[in-house]
Amino acid sequence: MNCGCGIEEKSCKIRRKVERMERKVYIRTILEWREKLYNSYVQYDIYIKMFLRFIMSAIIFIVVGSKLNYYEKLSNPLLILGLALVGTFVPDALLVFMVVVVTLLELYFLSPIIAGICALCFLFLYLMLARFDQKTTLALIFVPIFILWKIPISLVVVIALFFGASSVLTIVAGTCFYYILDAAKNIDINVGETTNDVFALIHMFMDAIIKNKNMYVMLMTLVAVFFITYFVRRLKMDFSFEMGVIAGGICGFILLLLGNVMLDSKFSILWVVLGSVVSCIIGLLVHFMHMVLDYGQKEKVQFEDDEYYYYVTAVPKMKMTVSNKKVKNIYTKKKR
Amino acid sequence: MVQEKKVEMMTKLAIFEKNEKDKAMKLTKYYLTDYVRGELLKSFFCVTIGYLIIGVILSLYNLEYLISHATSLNYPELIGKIVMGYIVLQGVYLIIGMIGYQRRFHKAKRKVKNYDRELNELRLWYRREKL
Repeated sequence: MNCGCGIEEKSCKIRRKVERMERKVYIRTILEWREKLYNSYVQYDIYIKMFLRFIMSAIIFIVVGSKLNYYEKLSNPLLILGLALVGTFVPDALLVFMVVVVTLLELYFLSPIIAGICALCFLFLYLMLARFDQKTTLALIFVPIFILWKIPISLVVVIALFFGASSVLTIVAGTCFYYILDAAKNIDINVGETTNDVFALIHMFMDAIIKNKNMYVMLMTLVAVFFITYFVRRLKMDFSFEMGVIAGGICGFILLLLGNVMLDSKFSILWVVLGSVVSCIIGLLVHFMHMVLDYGQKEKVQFEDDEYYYYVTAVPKMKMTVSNKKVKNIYTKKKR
Repeated sequence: MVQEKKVEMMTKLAIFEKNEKDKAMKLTKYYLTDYVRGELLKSFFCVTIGYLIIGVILSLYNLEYLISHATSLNYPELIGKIVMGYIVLQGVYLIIGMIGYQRRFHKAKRKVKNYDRELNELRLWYRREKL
């Protein structure tokens, strides 16, 4: 029987078998690299975590400083370095508080009235939305940054894969946070100092937030992406995580496009497409690596009994072991 | 002499205590009703302050209209709408909060139950050692 490739059936079968083995070897190589990374992470996890947190804090303060450049001293590299260093060691909630304070200081030098309104809005968002989920407090600052980088869907997908349903509230708060800052950045503050002018400025600023179609489309998209990814990944079937990521990416793409068509929101089509694809890739990558990040954490505990004090370091095991087989070929001389 | 099985049990218990001291273990020190009531009280105050903030912001937004129509506004209707909105918002938050905090409490209770079971195993171990 000809399999359509012009080669006899037996050779075709052998070729397909070899291709399957090569794929398995390729996948196995990737998994082995993952385990090597995991072992290195477990060994140096404290230093790696501190370093990553420092980089994360530095990125946050650099982005805030560069986008809201109203007070030059706050964009000073030494100050950013110092803030990033402090951010490395403080809890998540305090880091978010520091970022909000820096943001409000920047806005104060734009307009004290805008800074005051923004402070009230941030407090409202925290009290009504963000305080319910402590684990995803950092999403309050990362959602705006990822919206700025045009890949918010990737962050929402990752949060939906690993956190509970209440994290959607933090995502909503983070999205509103971004659009409030966006409105503050784009507003024309060249108004007089009379009371009427002040109220006109407030009215203009609130209009820029309330009548922003992009905000509603983004909110709707991110909430839908979150819930689709969340419910698909909870299904009891194979590859539910991967399907959740892809479903979330497709949903985000469709909703942003629909938003452009029906509500005339101004999202760049190129970034909608690219952003969705990149978001799916990031989501799949994070899922692949999550065991390294989530489980590669040593536990150090101490306790005592009647006889001894115990200082224990517990290192989690990985399910897959690296193949450490060594093939030794033994050749014997043939006796003639 | 160090007994490996005992150290293994004690290590697992110590890891749980270290990670859940401020979470599940703290939660289960309360009764369910007390915990839920405490959280709902916090939620009540937060929603009240949030509602006041949104009231201030909306008042500033509509200040021109409010000042120009100060004498002709239907104040009972306006106050009624404000109070109704507050009651509805509080109701929504309290209902969702009640369901959410109860689930959180039961989840924490299950974790602590497993911990208690392992603690009992350790106690049995000590008793066997003494015998």
